Amino acid sequence: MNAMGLANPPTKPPPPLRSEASESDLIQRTKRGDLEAYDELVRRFQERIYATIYHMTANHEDANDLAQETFIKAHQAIASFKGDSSFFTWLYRIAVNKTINFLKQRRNKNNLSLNDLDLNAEHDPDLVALVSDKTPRRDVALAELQEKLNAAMQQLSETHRLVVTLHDVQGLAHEEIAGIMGCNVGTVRSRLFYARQQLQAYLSDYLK
Amino acid sequence: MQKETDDFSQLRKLLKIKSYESPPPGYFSQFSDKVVARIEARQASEATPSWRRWLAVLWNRPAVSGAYALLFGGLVMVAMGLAQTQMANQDLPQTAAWAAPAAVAPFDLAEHTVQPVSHSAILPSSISPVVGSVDSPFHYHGLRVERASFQGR
Repeated sequence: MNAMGLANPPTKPPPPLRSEASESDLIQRTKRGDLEAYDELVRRFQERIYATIYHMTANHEDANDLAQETFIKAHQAIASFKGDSSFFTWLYRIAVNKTINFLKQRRNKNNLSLNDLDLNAEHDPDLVALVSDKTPRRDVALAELQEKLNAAMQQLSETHRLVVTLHDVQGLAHEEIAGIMGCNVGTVRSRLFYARQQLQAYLSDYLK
Repeated sequence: MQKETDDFSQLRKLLKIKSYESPPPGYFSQFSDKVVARIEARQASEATPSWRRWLAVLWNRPAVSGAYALLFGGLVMVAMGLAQTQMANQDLPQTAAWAAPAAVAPFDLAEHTVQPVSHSAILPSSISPVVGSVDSPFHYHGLRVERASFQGR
């Protein structure tokens, strides 16, 4: 009873805090039309999805559009998500399919629009070792390396670029990549080997 | 496997650059809001009746509404033309006698067959002038044909 003598209305238990909600709970709530739950799902995966698309396209604007479209498409199709694979794998498949379709249409129109490097890159010992001691400004040398690397990545086929991106840049396991690409682990390994060989040839001047 | 890792170790170090590439500051703090706003706009659009969406398109795009106006105007003109033609056909007498197609007699090929004639009898020329011909109309009227000469005039 409150001060006015009226019974308090029955209160629903508050929804769990963002960090506490389980992925399956968020998915179920999204299926029921809860956009707040979907907002939380987007927040959980936005960086990885954006990064994958960005490394594939080497263009921030394209990555932004495709990442948004990926999440919109996933929201439209979420009723069909049965949980046979993880939500992460399912979402990645949508992103990868969208990106590869986009790249096939964009073929021969490669315009790089690269993101800036994080300041921490200048302090990474591996990268410092790659930059010549004679270079007066390390950030300039790193930016040049970044451009050459991205240009070399664009020389790879979409599938080979995807394998390098998912494994060498994002650190996914071969099995996860196989699940996303719908192929077996052996194919992932052979594609990765071939892609690295190609990249090494393109970047031979910078890998001495 | 170890050999493979060693072969590509320099490349893998270089690839670490990619992990330091990051979008403009604050990009991810707005990203999900933009996605959800687009989903809401889409849902609102789907909830709107199609005729209202169509009107909205016309209102927002003058070029489209102009094209529709031209198309509609053209259709009205065609419809009016068809209606006028139909009305004019109804006003005419059923079949005017003069307008009825005349009966055409069958063409008898035998009557019109060209008989072969002697070449010299018909074709006058400087070698066989018409004066000498007995059947010539010049001979009948007492006319005489002479060679004209305009020299010296």
